[in-house]
Amino acid sequence: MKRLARIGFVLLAALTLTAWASAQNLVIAQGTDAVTLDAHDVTDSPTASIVSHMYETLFELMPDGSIEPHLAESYEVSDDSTVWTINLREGVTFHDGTPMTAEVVKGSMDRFLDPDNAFTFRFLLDRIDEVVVTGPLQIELRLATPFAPLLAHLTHNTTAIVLPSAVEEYGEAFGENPVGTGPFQLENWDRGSRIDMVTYENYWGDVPAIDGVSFLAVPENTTRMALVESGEAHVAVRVPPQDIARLNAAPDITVENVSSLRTIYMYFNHTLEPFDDVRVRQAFNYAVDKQEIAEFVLGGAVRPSDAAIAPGIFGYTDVGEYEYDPERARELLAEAGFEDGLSTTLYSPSGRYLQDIQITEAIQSQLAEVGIDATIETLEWSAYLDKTREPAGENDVPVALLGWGTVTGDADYGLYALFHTSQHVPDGSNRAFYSNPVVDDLLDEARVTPDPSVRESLYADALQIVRDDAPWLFLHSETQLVAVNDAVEGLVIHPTERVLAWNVTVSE
Amino acid sequence: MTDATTDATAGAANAAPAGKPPARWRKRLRRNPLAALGFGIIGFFLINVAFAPFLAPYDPAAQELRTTYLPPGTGVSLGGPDGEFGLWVSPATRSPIGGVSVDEGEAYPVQWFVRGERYEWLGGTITSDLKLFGVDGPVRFHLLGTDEQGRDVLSRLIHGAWISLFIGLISVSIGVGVGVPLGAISGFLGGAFDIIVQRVVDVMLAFPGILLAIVLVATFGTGLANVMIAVGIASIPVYARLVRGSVLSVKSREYVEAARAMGKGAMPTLFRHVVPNALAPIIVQSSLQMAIAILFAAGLGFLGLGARPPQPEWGLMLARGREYLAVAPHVATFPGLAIVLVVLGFNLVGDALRDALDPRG
Repeated sequence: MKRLARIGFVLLAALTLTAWASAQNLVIAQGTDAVTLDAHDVTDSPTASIVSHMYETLFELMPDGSIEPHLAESYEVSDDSTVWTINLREGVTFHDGTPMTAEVVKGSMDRFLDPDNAFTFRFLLDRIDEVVVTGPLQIELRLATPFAPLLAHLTHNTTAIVLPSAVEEYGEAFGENPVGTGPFQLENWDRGSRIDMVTYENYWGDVPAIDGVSFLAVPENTTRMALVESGEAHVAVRVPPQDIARLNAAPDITVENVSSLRTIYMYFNHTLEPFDDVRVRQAFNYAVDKQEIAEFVLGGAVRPSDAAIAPGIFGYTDVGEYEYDPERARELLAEAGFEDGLSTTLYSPSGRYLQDIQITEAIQSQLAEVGIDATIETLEWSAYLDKTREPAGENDVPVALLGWGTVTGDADYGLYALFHTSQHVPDGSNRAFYSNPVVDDLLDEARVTPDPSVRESLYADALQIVRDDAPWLFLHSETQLVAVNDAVEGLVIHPTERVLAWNVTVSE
Repeated sequence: MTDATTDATAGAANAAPAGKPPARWRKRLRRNPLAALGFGIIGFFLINVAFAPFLAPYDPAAQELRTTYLPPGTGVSLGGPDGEFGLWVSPATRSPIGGVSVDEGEAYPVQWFVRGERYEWLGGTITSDLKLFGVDGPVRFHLLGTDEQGRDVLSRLIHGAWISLFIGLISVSIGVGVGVPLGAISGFLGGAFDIIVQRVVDVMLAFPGILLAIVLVATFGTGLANVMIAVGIASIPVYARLVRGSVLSVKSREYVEAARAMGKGAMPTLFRHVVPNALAPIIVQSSLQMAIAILFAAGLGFLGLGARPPQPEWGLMLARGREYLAVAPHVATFPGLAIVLVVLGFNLVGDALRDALDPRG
């Protein structure tokens, strides 16, 4: 009997401890659940947020835009810029205890580069011809030609190092059984609802002060905000602008406002009339009051675009906003032969980007003032991507709203895929079918030029031409609005739209 | 509610047992207070549909981004600055992230029959700028507030009435147009045709109506036209089953046998003598079906499968307004109330008609 009581006491103590421990769990509410936990296969930023807690990359893009070695310790580049020697960090282990060696890193990179695996972001590293092991903790990346953005691309979350033996062991199920080197490891994944991670005690760096981190999938904005208001979640991402004032008024919540590397725009399909005429495209740009939309539809939480990429990205230059000028818009339309106006269709997602459909409706109403009669077409997100991805000739989407996050922090990622002639959909992401040989040359040259200041001026020229050609209706760069409980310290809201809990402490 | 209706008409029936059927029906309807309420609601709804541009103070699509989420009656005061009688409106502006400020120093009276934006009416036969009420001055009067794009909620509700009525009429027409002949022929002819039609109807009835409509919209594609067709198709089995039952009960009557004996063909007999005598349940069902169709269409609009922005469809308005419940509850509340009211109206009329047309009464 006495013994039983003792067992009971121990059990009770254990339960209390667990309860106390769960209080040290950071809870983050996002709009969507992870699609996969296979780091190489991630394509969306909510998943990247989650996966970044379990996997790490060789280099890390710091929130200020600089690049620091991470799983790498140091690197050297050969004089002709075609051989990159990378020294790896010592003492790094995977969640199953396997040490990270040069062989393991090569295995991970070979998997990422294998064309048979067809990873979406393979193009980030496809200039690498060969990964060679040159020491127990040293690898060489061999390239045929210089490729300036390589270091930036090695910070992209999909290039993270995975454990090849685990990939082999789990096969298709690796996406549910992640094995990485990150400070947290997977404990439980309730698909569509929540992911729980616990701290990895043998982490090579500073072991996190919290015991774990959980990501909840809460698509409904009002519900997500209610979670952080009631204290059930510490962090809620994507605060609707109209809720900022209300949440900030709550005693224990602050809405963080962190600029993002994502640019929001509407592109014009150059294969369709009248958008083959630069005057029409410019007229759209003059007809829309970006400032008013930024201020009143988005609560001042965005920055009207003065270039095709956002500030904070290497290669960004202010090439000038299209000021709101409806008179000029009417003149340009008249010059192009549309004195009596024109009609078109604006495609828009609904719920993908901050206030996307509201923005489109505001644009529709402003276009009407200069005689452009636009109807709005909304499609479910994956159908929307498919429809705007159709090849020239079949693609009948004239104007569509999209966003592009330059998550490597380098202009190549933000410009090459969207404006280079070789990147017309369905092969790349140039949905506008924009093509300008001068821009092509500038982008090609910037790719192989090692000197950063030369690259910067090449991108400045390209941005200026793109601005004048107006393949887009330039709108704004987004801001991440994240509601954070004041008990949370050290949360990183990264410009790549990832929320990182690596160094978080939660005060009682 | 149904019980109350039944009691009321039972009393009415006792008081007036005799008379020709139409007169008896009218009398029963007149004595039913809920029927009056139902007809009143529908009448109000129809007036809104008919005179929308005259009643609505503003263009339902006109946006004003600087005055979004204004609560109902912002800037309105009872009595003018110098103590004049009536409603007065002061200009209101909103700061980008909440907080409405009203400039009390300036005020304009709300008047009946003011000049507003020009509009075309009855397909362009009448062009006018006369509005039932409004403000003559550089200020907008938002009786029910504004939505997330600064549009006038009242104007959107009034213009949206037409969409709801149209959806109801078209989908009920599809249901009646296909379901009634199908059910009538099926019941009248019997045999293999009857069995096949009724088994197909069984399959369709096995799905809840709204689910069937969602499946159909997913197949045809989204949009208002497809919603009307989908809701119409979803109501076909209901009519087919209902009419078949009525036809079965009528077809063995003496006058039908007489018609056949006089050498009339099957189809002329069916549509001259049988169907007209089976009309009562169709009328009742149609008024109830109007309510169902409006509700379904609003549901589909809510799910983003129906009307497209910026159409002022009530379901869509409700769905969009839901996102702002915490900051501007009125944006979702009024479309919700409008749907409830119209659906209630058609249901009350349907109930009353059923009681009035009941041959056992």
